[in-house]
Amino acid sequence: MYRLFRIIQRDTMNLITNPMWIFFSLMFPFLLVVILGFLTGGLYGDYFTSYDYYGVTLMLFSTMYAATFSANSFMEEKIKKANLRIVYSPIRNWFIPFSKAVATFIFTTFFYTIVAVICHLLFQIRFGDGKLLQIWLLFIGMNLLFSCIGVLMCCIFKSEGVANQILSILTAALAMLSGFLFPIANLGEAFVKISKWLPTTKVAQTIFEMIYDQNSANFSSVFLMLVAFSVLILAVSTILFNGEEYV
Amino acid sequence: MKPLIEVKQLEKSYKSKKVIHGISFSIYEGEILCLLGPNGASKSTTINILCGALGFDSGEVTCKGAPIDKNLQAFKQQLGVVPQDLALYEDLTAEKNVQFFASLYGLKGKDLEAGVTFALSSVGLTSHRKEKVASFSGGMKRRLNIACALAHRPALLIMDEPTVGIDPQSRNHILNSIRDMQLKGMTVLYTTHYMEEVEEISSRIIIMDHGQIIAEGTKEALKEKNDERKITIEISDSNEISLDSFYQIEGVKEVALNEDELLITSIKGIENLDHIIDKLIRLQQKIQNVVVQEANLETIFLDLTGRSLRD
Repeated sequence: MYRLFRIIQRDTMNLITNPMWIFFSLMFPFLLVVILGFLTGGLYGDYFTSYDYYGVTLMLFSTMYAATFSANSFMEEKIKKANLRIVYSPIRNWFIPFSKAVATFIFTTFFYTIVAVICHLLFQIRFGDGKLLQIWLLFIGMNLLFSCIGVLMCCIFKSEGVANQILSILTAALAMLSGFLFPIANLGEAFVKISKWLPTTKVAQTIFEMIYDQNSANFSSVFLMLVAFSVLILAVSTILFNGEEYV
Repeated sequence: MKPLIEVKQLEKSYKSKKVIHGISFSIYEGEILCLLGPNGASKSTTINILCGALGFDSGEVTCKGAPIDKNLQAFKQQLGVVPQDLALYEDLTAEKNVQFFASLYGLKGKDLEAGVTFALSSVGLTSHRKEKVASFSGGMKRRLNIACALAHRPALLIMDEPTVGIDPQSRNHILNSIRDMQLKGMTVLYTTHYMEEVEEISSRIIIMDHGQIIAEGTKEALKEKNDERKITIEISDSNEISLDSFYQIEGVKEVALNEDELLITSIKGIENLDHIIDKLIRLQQKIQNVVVQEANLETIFLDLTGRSLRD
C-alpha cells in the first residue's frame, strides 16, 4: 500500500502544482454561475433566485469536467513519459488508473468545494443548510463518478485527445438533457422522458428536493448509485489497462 | 558466467504483423550486452518485453530459471530501466525525482536516502540534488534519467539509447558510470546508435534486424568472422585502368572504380598490397593515397543488414 500511496500522492501533486488546472477548476464553475445567474436573474423570484438554481446545476455541470482532469492526469504528454517509468516499476497495473481517479477526485473535491463556499458567501446560494453534508456527498459522488469516467475513456481510446473529444460531447449532452443549462421542458416531451432516466438528472432532483422540500428520501439510493457506478467503471478501467498504453 | 536472463523462441505480433520472429539469447551476469539494430529492428519491443511492460505471443523469458510472467513484480524489482525518452518530473528537484521512483521499489527511510545518494553520486549529480530538473542541461537530464533507475541497486540495468542528443562530456560521464556499475556487479543491457560506444563498453553484442538476431558474439569474434578488408587507392588517371587484370592477383574478390579511386575488396590474411601497387606502377599510374580498412563494427553491421545503423 506504501507504493500505491506514493503514486496517489505524486498524481495529486501533479494536479495541484499545475496553475492552469487550478485556474480552470476555480474559474470555470465560478464564472458560469456568475454569468448565467446574472443573465437569467429576471426569470426567477426572490425566494428561489437564478443563483440558487444555477449554483446547484452548474456546480454539477462542473463536476462532470472531473473527467477531463483525470484524462489529462492519465495521458497528458508532459506527464505520460514520467508515468512510463511507473509502468516499469514493480507495482500492480491497477494502481495506475486507480491512482489517477483518486488524485482527480481529491483535486476536484478540494477546489470545487472552495468555489461552492465562495458562491455561497457572494450570492447566498442555498446548499441545504441542515442537509449540507449529504448534499456535499452527492456533489463529491458526481466528482468521483466523472473522475472514473475520464480514466475509463483513456483506457478504451488509449489517447488523451480522443478521450477528451468524446468527453466534451458526453458532458455537453448530459448537461443539456439533465437541465443543467436551461429547463429541459423547453426541448419538448421526448427529451423530458429521456432526462428522467439520466443519473445526472436524478442527482440534481435529489439535491433540490433536499434543499427546498426537506425531503432526503432518495439520498441514499442516489448516493449509492453514484458510488456503485464509480466502482464498476473503475473496475472495468483497471481490467482494460495493462500498461502497454504508455509504451 | 551464469545466465541471468534467458530468452527462448520469443515471438510478438502487433495485430497481424509479426515483429519478433522466434529470437533466443541469454544475458550473462556481470556483462554489458549491447543490442544493435537499425530503426524497425524491434530492439525497443524486445526491451519492453524484457522490462515486463509488453506481453508476448509465444516463447519464454526466464530470470535465473524462473519465467518472468509468473511473478512479474518480483522480476521487475530486480530491474532498473532507463527509457529512451526522458521520464522525469520537470518541476521536481533531482533528489525528489529519484526519491519518488525509488519509493516505487519499496525503498523508504534510511534505505531510501542511501539509495538516492548512491544513484546521484553514480551519475555525478550530487552537487545538483536540490536543483529543479527544469533548470538542467540536456546532458544532466540524461544522467538523472539513469539515476532514477539506480537507487534500488538493480541486478539488471536496461538502457534504451541513454546518450541520445548529448554533449561528448556527458556521454563520457555516462559511459564511465556504466563501467562502474559493471564493476559493482551490475548486468547491463544497452542499446545505442553509436558504434563507438559499443566498441568502448560492450562485453558482447547482438545485432538485430527485422525482428531477428542476425549476429551475436564479442566484438572481436564478430570482426574475426568478417574475412574482408577494403583497399582504397587514389590514382592519377582511372581511364587507363583495366579492372579485370586485378582479379589475377591472389585474394582480390572485388574491384571497382569511383572517379579516381580504385576500390578493392580483398580477403583478409593474404598480403597482396605489394602486388596491387606493383601492377599500378606497371600501368604507369601515379599513386596519390592508399587506405587499407580492416572490418569494424560499422562495416560488419552494413554487410549484415545492408543498412547503416542510423538509417
